[in-house]
Amino acid sequence: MSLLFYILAALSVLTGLGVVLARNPINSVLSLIACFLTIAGHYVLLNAQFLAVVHVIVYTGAIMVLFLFVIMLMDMNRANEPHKKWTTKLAATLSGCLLLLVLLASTAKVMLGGPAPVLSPDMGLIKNLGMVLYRDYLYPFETSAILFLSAMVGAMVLGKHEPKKI
Amino acid sequence: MAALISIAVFGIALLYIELTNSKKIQLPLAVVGLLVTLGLTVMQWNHPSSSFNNMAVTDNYSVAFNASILLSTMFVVLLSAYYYEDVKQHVAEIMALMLFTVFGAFLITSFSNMIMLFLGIETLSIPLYVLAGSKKFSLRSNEASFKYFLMGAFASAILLLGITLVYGASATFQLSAISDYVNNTKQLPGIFYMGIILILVGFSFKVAAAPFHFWTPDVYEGSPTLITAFMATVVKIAGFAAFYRLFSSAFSSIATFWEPLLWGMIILTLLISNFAALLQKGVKRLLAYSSISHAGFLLLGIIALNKLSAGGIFYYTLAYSLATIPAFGVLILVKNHRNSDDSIDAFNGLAKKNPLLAIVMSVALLSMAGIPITAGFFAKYYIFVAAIDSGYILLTIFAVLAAVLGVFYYFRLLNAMFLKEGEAEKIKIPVVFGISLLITTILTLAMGVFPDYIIKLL
Amino acid sequence: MEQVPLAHMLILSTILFFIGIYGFFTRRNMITMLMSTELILNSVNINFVAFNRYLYPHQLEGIFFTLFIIAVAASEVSLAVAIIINIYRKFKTIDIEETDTMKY
Repeated sequence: MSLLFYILAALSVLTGLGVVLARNPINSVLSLIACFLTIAGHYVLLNAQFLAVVHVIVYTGAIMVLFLFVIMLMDMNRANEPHKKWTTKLAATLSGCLLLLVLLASTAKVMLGGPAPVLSPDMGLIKNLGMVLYRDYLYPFETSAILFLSAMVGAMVLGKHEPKKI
Repeated sequence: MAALISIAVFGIALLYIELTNSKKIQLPLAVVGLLVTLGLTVMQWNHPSSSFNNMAVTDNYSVAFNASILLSTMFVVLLSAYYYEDVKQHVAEIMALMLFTVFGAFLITSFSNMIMLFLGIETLSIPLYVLAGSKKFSLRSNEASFKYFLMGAFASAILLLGITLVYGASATFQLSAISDYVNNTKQLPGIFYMGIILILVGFSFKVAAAPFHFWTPDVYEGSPTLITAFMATVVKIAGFAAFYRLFSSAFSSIATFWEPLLWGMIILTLLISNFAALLQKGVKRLLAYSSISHAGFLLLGIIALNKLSAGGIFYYTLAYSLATIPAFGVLILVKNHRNSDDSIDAFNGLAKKNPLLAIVMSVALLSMAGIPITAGFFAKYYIFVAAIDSGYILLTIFAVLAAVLGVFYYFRLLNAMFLKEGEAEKIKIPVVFGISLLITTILTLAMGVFPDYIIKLL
Repeated sequence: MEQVPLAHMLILSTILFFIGIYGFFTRRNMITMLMSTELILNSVNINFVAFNRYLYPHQLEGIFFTLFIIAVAASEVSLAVAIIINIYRKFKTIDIEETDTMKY
């Protein structure tokens, strides 16, 4: 179990690096898909099976396909992106590393009250989640409907082809 | 809760009205929706309640901010009758998206759980990304939309990392439980402090405070002017309402930790925005920087964190909105008559040919500058009193100096309108537009003469 | 069955977070910038689930927050894609610096 985690973690970091370093957008998308699959693996190890399934369906299935579709549509299957100036890159790297160090220092000290308690394996399964979702989390669940509606209307307003200038 | 449902129902109804493609129904329906919601909101006054497992609380604080959000939205919607006169498509959708933004704003003025904070901010932002890009054939509008989206997503991500670290330390998303945790723990873990810093950064992105303000001038300039007025008012009111609610209820016991950070942010915001505004040539950009500087003054109310701050912030946001909307309204008219030229020179000689517009604009600018008998004077006064009451004397002196500096760039515009000669012609003011401008101006003056009625509310 | 320390999970998510930030600041392609923000959001999700599992396993709060983040991220991406397609259709470029008509 522990070994599996480290293998998955290494893969996540490698594929994550692939996303930001690959010059061809297609390779970026494919790395991101791999990265999301390893993250789904982490969810399973963390006893959140339902979340892992949702994650694979929504991210890998829907969002990444959308990305691939857009890249194909725009015919960007080429590594023609000019790079930013190296000073920008250096600044980004340095500031990123500094922040990373601060965050790592604060998170590495997190004390655990002993090892994680052993749970019944069905804790993260749909039945329990559904009970809590429709009881305790009804309000955010209902209000997110308006969020989706506005995203839907927005995408249509922006994406609709106008025959002539309005 | 009734107000929340009503605003959503009217938004959806507007989407259906789009089918008729008749502007005669759209605008009245939006105004009626806002008025009905305003009525339902005001009815909740002095009836505090909490619903859905304490996910949302309604108290006088949230009712007051909701009412001022609705009022600002109504004036913007009234301006839209003229602004979208020649636009054939999507007008009802744009109004519906405005109502959905207001829905999101309601969620974050009355949140008591971090999930609602996150969902509310997203519901507030997503329609705004679309609205910023609603001028589809303009590159600047599209660019503003994408920039706003990227910065918004980035800020949300940072805010979320902050929330997760606070959750890791305190095991809860409820504000009251976080506050209990802070009070009952002797040595708070490092991740909790880190979480607070990240939440602070995320919020300052959203309310456009330095050093995270850099997207604001571009987005405000690129968006359609009417939408800029909407963003500058509604988002700011809701953002500060949520900011103050979070920091006063959850993190008030460790104010000694985050107040120095906020202190630095206020100094930076006031410095950068006021000096940058002095250099601007375009009025829209000038107003964008002025909006950043107002964020600096509003942060003063948060750092004060005493019983005067809630009232001070409420009064300030209301006065600021009532000044910003007519300022952008006049800008829309002048810009339309000068072929989209929004430089200060376009205002030359406005007072001679269009005395009414010049007076509306002057009252708005004087209010932003904080000159007496306008609402802006008392807005700054109450904020400063709150800050001095908490012992921030040095910071208040600095803020007063920044306010004096601000007077300079507002007077440049006044100077152009009243003293310079220009080839301005008579501008015809559409009726609904004029009503909106007049009401906001009268309210600004009324708030300046009788400030007690507003400040005693909270 | 040995357990992975929580700190290691947090280090993983922090590293992913900063890979995302690095991509966000150094890339010029709008699609890649968008993918970087998705990476950032996912690193936060790992944090939520890990805290939930290790520290407070008898509540499901972290898991629900993650569910809402996934849902919101999906709607955000659909909107962003609409904006990008609109920009591309009108101006034939999605390079962030070529669309930079405004200066500070």
